[in-house]
Amino acid sequence: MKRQGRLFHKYALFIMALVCGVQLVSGAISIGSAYQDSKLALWRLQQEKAISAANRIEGFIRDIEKQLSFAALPQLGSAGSEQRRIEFLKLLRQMPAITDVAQLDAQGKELLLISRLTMDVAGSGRDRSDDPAFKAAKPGQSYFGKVYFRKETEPYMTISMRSGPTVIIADVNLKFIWDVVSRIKIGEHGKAYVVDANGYLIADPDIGLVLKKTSLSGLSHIQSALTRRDVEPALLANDLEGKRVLAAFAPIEATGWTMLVEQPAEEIYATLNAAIARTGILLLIGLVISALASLWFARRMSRPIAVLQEGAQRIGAGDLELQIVVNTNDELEALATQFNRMTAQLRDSYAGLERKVAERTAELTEALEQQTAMSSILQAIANSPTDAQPVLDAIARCAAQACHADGASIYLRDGDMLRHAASTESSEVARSYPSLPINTVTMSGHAFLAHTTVHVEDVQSGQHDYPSSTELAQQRGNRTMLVTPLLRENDAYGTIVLRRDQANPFSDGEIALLKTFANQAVIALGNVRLFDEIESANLELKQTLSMLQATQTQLVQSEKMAALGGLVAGVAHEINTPVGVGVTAASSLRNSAVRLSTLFKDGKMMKADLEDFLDVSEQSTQMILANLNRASNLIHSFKQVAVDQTSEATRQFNVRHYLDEIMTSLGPKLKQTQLRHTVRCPDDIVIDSYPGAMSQIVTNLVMNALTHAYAPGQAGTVEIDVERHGNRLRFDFRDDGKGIEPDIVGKIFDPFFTTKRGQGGSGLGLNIVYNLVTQTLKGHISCQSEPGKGTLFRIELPLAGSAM
Amino acid sequence: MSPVRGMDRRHWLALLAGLLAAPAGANAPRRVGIATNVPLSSDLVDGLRVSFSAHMRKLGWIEGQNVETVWRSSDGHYERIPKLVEELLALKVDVLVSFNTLATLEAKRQTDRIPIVFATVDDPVGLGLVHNLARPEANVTGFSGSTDHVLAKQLDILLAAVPGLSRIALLRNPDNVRLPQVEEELRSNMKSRKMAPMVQLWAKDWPQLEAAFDTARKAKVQAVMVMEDGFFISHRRQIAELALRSRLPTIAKARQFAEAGITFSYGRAVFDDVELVAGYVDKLFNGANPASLPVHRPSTFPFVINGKAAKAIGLKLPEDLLIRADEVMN
Repeated sequence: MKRQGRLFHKYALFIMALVCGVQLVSGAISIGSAYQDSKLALWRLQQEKAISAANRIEGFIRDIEKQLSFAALPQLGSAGSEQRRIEFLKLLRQMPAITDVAQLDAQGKELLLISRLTMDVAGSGRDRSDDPAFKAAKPGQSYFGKVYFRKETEPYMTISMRSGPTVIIADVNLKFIWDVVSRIKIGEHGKAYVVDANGYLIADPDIGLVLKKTSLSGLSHIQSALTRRDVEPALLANDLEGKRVLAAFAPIEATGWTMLVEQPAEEIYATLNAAIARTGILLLIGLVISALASLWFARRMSRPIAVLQEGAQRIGAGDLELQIVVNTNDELEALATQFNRMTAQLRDSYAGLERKVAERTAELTEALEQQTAMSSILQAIANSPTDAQPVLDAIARCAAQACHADGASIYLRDGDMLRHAASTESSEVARSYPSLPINTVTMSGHAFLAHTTVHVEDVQSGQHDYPSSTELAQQRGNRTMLVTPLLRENDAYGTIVLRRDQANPFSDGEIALLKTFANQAVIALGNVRLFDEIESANLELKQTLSMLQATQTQLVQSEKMAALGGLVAGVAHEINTPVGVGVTAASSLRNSAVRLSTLFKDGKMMKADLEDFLDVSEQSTQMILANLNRASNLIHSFKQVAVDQTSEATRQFNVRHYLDEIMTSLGPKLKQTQLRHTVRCPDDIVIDSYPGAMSQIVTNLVMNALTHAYAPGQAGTVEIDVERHGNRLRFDFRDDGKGIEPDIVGKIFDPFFTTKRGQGGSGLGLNIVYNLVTQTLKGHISCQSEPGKGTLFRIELPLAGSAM
Repeated sequence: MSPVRGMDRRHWLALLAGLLAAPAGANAPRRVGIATNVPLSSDLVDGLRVSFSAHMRKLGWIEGQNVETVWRSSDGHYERIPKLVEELLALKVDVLVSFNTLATLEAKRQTDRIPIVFATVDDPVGLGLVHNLARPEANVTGFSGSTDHVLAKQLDILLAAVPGLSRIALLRNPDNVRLPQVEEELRSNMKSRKMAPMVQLWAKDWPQLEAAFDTARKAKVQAVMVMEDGFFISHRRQIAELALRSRLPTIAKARQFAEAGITFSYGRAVFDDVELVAGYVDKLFNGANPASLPVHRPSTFPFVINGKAAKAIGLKLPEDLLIRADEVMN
């Protein structure tokens, strides 16, 4: 029960902090005030001691005064002086402090002197009228003289009083006050002492100090005492030895002296500290008691909460039979009761929840079944895109299963009838099912026509509008039937029928499910139909394509033939000239030979004739030879071109030379026009390539320019520039003809595209060029042209290391 | 606070003070030398010893533990005093206590370092022992006997006791210190009372004493004053006997005389100031400077009458004398 402990700790800490905190604060305050109170009390006590001591000294003085006044009582008669002597002797006997006592007459003459130190003198008549004690003596009031020190060591004071006309004067030895002050105990090491009005020490427990005629007037507290300045009950000061003392004083009124009591400060503070320590211990005990009480209280508070918490935990763990018992007779008990009530409610709702879970599980199972059914149908659709039958079989099977029917059938429209298409029964049984007429007396018919779902709880009962169905159901033993149409865009394809052998109507869910199955069937059927359509379209396309290909081949062939024909024609024409010249020369030579022969035979041959003949024969043979050589050269060239045009083989050739040969072979064509041509090509480019393809390309491009770029008879220039660009060879075929319209630039390489159809254009020239460049030579070709600004065909061929 | 505990604490404090004051040999007991002219065998000295050690004990000084008291007596022979003082100083006493004026003078002569406490020295200023009473300003301090005042009052008493008193004798020890001022004052007092010149009786042994009283008788002396002296106090009973035999009213200073049968005693008893002496010894042990310890003068002078002795010599005591008496022994 860790959490219980935490709660307990929290409570305990909180209560403890609260209680102890309050106690501490009050304790601190009480210690503080106790300190102040104790201090004040001690200070007051000190003052009380001073006052008490002063009273004792005062009492001492007053006692002497009283005794003196007894001795001073007027004595009558002649025996008076003897009696006075006796009284004085008694006085000295009783008052050891009185050293001398004298009686003076009204004039200050000494009548009697009794002393401890000198012989008694009667009637000496010594004049003591100057004595202040005599002068100050008043009736009824004693005079206390100033302190004086006999032999500079013993403190004395004179007391005088009037006795009738005489004055009694006594000298008091103040050393006797020692008896008084030495008996006054001031703490452990404190003392009481007396100073006179001038600060001289009169009485002190250490009589030696007095005998030394010590003046204390230099000490601050003595000064305060003498001037009665300080109103504090006591004050801290330094004594003669410089020790810290707490001093208090009280005046001794009779004599004007000051009583002082002193106590070492450390002693005072020890007392104070003891008081504080006592208070502190009490506070500590209080704190301990409070802490224990806090623990007890916290325990009392946390125990029922812990019980509640444990109960809650067990309830949380599923123990709903638990009864929490808390008997605190307060809110906690109420809470426990609430808990128990809640537990009971929880128990009830738990049972309800279990039921709901079971229901939901059943629903989920059903949904899963349906899902599985759908999935198997989709599987069937996917597996059989061309054939609806397996799909329909699957739908029938799944629909029966998912809707808990004993059987299912699918009917498809076939003309005026609904033909049985699929069923859960075996195929033999299914085949026996008749096709159903499309009318409203059968359930299927009605559903098909009305595009609506028909549900009859007990078909055999006849309580419905489908008598034909009743009969059929009785034959088959069906009771509850459900029919839904197969609809696609307001077009019915057929119906799907569910049958139950017991009268048990289908639920709304099952009806909705059947509609879904119907939709699936429609999709499957639609798929098959679409597939068939695509298939036939494909077939058509294939046939068209093959026809097209055949035509194209044909055309290419004919183009080739045409090109060859053109070539042959060109060749014939070209050869014709030298051969014709040769023939003319030969015939001329023959004529000359015949004529010379005739002349020779005729014998009429003249030397001149022979010389003529030799001239002619020489010229003629030279001409023949020259022209035959030319023809031979021509043929060689043509043969080369022709061979290359048909050959598929690669060979090494010099581009420049080859281009010249091609251009030569095209010479006859070009000669028929006003066009000039230039070939700019470095001499050192040798490539290993298809010369036939190259020849064909150049020929076609030149012919394309001749045919399309220029009007007949128009002058112009065709330029061929060949350059190396990195590892590529660039051919630029440029003309300055009329250019190509932008909308057809993109089509010029298409096969059979021509602007001169019917004028001898086949539409294959540039297509062949394109095919040769891209397929045979693995290069590419582009065309840039603007109307009126000529056309540029740029061919880039990979050198692929073949360039030298 | 019980006295026992107080004593224990004082004891402890004294011990502590002793320890602090004696850096070398901290545990060595303090030593006090006491010089007297009274024989040590005398019962007086016994009393003195007991009294002194009791007072010392009160102050925390326990004989044999932390204090050692060395007693020396010249046994009434004043010529022995210098030797005696020398002995005591040789013992390296911490404080020297003198119960004899000659011994005090001798001690002061022999040392200006070791503190000297005297008891019953008359006129210490006049004798040059101290500079003044409040501050001796020497290594000497103590307790004055005030014999000047005492003799005046003794004369007063004899005048009151013996009607028509004219001639008195002064019994003195020729070896003891002379106090001329005191003598002069006495003479002047006697003169003022119109008395016959006083008779001086000298004695320093028993035969002289007997002879002295014979002389007194022969000189028609009416009363005898016994001066303070160790020999006299140790022979006080014999003196009382002689006085009785001579039917002479006699007065002495110490009450021990009255107790021994002398008619009157007036003044401080011998060793009355032992407590004060112990107090000064304590202070000096604790490091006090004797020069700053004032000399005490007595404030009380007990007057004791031996009524039996007075009666035996047929002396009728007047009322005022009885009033004055602190004690009348019968």
